[in-house]
Amino acid sequence: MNVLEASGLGKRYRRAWALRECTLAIPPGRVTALVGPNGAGKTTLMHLAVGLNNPTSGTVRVLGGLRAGSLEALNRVAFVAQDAPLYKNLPVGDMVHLARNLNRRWDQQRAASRLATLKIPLGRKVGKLSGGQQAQVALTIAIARRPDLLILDEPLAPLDPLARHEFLASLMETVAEDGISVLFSSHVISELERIADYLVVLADGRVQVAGDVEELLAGHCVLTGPAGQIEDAGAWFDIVHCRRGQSQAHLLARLRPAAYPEFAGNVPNGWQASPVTLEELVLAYLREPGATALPGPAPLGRGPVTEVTA
Amino acid sequence: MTALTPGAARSADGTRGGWFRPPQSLASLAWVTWRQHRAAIIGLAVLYGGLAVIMVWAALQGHANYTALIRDRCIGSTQLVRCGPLLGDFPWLMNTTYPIAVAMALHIVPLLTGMFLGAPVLAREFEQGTVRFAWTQGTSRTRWAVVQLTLLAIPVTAAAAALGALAAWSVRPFGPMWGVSLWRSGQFDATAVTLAGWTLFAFSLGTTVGVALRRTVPAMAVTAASLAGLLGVTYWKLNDLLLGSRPRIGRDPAIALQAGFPVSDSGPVRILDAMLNEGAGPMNPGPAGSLLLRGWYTGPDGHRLIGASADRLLSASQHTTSAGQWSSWLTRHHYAFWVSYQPPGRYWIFQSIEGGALLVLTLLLGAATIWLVRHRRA
Amino acid sequence: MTIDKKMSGEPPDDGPRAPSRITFRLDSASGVPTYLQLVHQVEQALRLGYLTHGDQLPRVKDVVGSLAINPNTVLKAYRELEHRGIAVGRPGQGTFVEAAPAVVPLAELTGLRKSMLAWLRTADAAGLDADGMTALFAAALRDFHDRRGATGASHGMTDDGPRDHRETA
Repeated sequence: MNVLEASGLGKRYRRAWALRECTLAIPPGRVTALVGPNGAGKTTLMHLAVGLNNPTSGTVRVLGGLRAGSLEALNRVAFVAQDAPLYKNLPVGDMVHLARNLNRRWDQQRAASRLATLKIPLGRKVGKLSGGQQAQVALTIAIARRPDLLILDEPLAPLDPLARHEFLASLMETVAEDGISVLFSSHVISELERIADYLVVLADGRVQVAGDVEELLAGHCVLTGPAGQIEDAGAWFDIVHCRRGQSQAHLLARLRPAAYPEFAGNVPNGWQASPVTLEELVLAYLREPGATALPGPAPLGRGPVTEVTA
Repeated sequence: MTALTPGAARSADGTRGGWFRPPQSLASLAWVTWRQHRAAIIGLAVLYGGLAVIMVWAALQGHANYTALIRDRCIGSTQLVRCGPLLGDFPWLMNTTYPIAVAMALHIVPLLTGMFLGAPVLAREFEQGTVRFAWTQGTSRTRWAVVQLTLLAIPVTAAAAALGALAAWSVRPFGPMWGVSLWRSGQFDATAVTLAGWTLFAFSLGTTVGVALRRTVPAMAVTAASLAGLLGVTYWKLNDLLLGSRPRIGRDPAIALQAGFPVSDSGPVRILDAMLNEGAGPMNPGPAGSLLLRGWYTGPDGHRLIGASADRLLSASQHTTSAGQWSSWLTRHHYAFWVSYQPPGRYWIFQSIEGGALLVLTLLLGAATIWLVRHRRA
Repeated sequence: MTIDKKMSGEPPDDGPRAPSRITFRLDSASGVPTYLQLVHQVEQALRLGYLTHGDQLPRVKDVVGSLAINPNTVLKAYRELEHRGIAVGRPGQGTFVEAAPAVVPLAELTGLRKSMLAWLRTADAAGLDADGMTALFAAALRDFHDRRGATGASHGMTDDGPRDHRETA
């Protein structure tokens, strides 16, 4: 059962496509990071997944086949939109009570104890809280709904470093406690490695990378070697991104799935492989819009996954 | 607010640890609606309550004085010596100012309801982005919108009906005294039926405009402007068309007035105009409570006077000095004055027609609103 | 239908508990994978006596709540500790220290240190500076690990994460 399945999903606003031919299957129990530059279609994908928006083409289903936005999906998918929209003129207590009245699944105890732990005054108007506290109220409401899938659109963007840490800590506590699946978008990629165990990179309305973080990291490396012999590396690796000087080159490379078992032994002579960080990996793909790393067999009709920029 | 009492949400569903609640009751959404819109609701309630208080006060004064005027047989009397002092104590009973003011004041009820309650309900949700919150909770957005709008529409419509009824009671003494007819355009749109209809229509117009424009202030402006326009057009034009029309409910009765018609600078000439649309009263003789439509003279041969013969009759009228003289002159020369009219029994039929039309428009707008809610993107 | 993943095998949160014996910290600049940092810190705590046999390791929820990391990372670290025979998970209770890693006797450490000094003098004579020596040592250590990993030898202290097999000289 995948928590999110998109097939051929597309959304067009007026003339421009915000999302195109998006095919995705996010397995359950993961914390999935959806990254990409601004305007890559992250929000569009999320809005389609929660039924705020209807696709122009294709389909999107959640929690093992529920139509996005159907009542059953609404009951089990919690969404915190960008900038955590809440009724700013309501006191926190009333805001939470309102959310309670809009939901069938509701864990009042959890909402109350979380707000108490966070020391958020119930009588204060939501609009008077700090950005971090507003984000925490929105998260409290979302997890008091006891969702099976929690979708967060840029939850970290408005938060200062401390608030960001606290927000992520409470989010991860919830994941540890409930084992819920989380999908969150971010254009900040430095903190993802600690949080996410599944990664989706969206660029220009298309899915560029999708996969388990561990597998992605294991399947990629940085090759350092002589600039004149880049072709040698190409025998076993797809080169995602290349930085070269006169004599030395760094290649962010992906091992071809077929060559997996021999990975360790097949670094060409003269080359040295070193592990890659998630941030490096994401940046490399974002720099090479033509490169993709998607699960399953390579799509037909496409040549080498990557181009060598020289 | 003691909204967050731990355990308050615990209900009987052991399988889910007590947090899986039975399907939403109407009360849940009612609380949501009340809490979000209580400022607007209270504001309108205060305003309409103020109007009601003024009307009650005026009505009590008016009714008391009416009793005194009847006792002293001053109704319709021109005996200023006897009745002047009594009328002088209550100058605002002397003319039609009060009933007209009430009718005009009541027209702001639909206007303000549409502007301050209807327009912001959905527009503000879009403007502040909270639709992204509201539409992703465990309530379908159709249910969210239908229940919320219905729960708001019912009390404002009821309040408008009450105000309309109160107004009718409040201006009742003025009708017989000064010929303020319930048929009159302003009055006609401010009864329990029509005011409720207009208010309901205004509310739903506001919501539709709000969801279409998705911004609060423009939605309020457009709603107010279009309501003012529609009320104005109805006041100046549509009511005349409606009431002057001859719905297929039987032929207009016509009656030959024995008393003829009082002579005045405008009277007889005006009465020959195509349309009267005046309520019967001291200035416009006719069956009590009816709406006079047309007037005409017939000659000795029983035919309607037209053209030159009518002119001759009118020039003859210049020499008469009183209503009685004119009347007897007409009788002597075998002339008669006729009016056609809508009898009082048709009043509520016309009220129902206007109310029904507004209800139909409301339902159309409501359907449009729900369609937009379902298809607009957040 | 919920994703019923009993993440930690720990009992539900019921009120305040005694604070755990150790806390973790992360060095994001080290480049060492997070789960390995946790493993190393438990081993270090054992060596230094902060943890002894039978102690409970910090609960997953608490680690996650203080470090803001993915719970799977903590679970992976604890699995690794179990794999190394250092800890054992008890369903419904948590993860407990099973055995301290083998402690090298002090005398042997002194001997090793002496032979290292001898090597350093040789390297110095050959013209290597301190950085050069460190780099050489790191490269040799990697080779050593890789060779052992390739022959399938397993030892309690091997960092056998999926990324460590990749480097070849």
